[in-house]
Amino acid sequence: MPLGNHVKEFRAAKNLNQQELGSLVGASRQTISLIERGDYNPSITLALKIAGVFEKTVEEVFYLTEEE
Amino acid sequence: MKKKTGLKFALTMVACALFGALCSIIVNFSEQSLTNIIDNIFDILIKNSTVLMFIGVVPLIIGSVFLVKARSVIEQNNNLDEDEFEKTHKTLSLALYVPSVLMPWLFVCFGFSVTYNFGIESPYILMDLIIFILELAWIIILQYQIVEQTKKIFPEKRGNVLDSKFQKEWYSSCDEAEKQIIGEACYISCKTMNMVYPILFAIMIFVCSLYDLSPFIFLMVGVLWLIQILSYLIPSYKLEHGKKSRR
Repeated sequence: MPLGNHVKEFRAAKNLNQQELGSLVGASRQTISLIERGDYNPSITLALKIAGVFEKTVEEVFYLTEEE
Repeated sequence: MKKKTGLKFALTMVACALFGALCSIIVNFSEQSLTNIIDNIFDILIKNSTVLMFIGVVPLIIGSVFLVKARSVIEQNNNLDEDEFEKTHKTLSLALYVPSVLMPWLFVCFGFSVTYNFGIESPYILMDLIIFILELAWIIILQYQIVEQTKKIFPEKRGNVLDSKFQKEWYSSCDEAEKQIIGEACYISCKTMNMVYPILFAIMIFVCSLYDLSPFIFLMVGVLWLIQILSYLIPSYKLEHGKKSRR
């Protein structure tokens, strides 16, 4: 099932660029870009790390979307 | 659903058999003209192997232009915005595809040169060898430069192209998404080659009816196919079952 996310909005709120967020969670800038575009669903570990940076729960950052 | 799949498979087999029969009829009736055409084509190719190797310079120039374009963007600005980053990354990727695709072309052309020049004991083999080495050096330098520029926009990446452990180091510095991309691309490559090898064998058997093919060629292609299969099966078995033994 496709996964939606608010990574871009939360990242902007924290004043982080993709490279900085990537460094904090151990992912490349390219991966952060893929996640934000919805082209890649992160693993649970990565999703938890990203949510942790934003001080949110995983469910607040990521959500299931309806299949087309 | 199962019946439809079975029927489709059966029809595919019948179509392949009919195609094979048609090819045999064509070969039987036009063997001489067909071998003449094939001989003429290969004659032109091996006699002009030097020219073919020179043609390889064109994609090298294109790859170098992509590299210079990406490098100038990276040197001007350490912090690329999202659009610039995507464009530069794509440019570097395209630059990297060029030497990768050119490598087999270069080896094939040099093989043609060896086939022709050794046969007639020609001194041009030395010239072709020099061209081969120079183009190979250009490819390696291009790959090295592209990887170094890629490491500037991906600071977490590790590895030196000139190091024998480069593939291992580079892969270990990839994150989960990059490893997934590599995995999916490799699986597509494996699936493609598993389709290509039987087709190649069919073509070789067809060619056998026109020429005397050495059995060594069948053995070589078979060994390559086996290596392809084993290099997939063995690691996938270890990954599937090795984890349980570690618990």
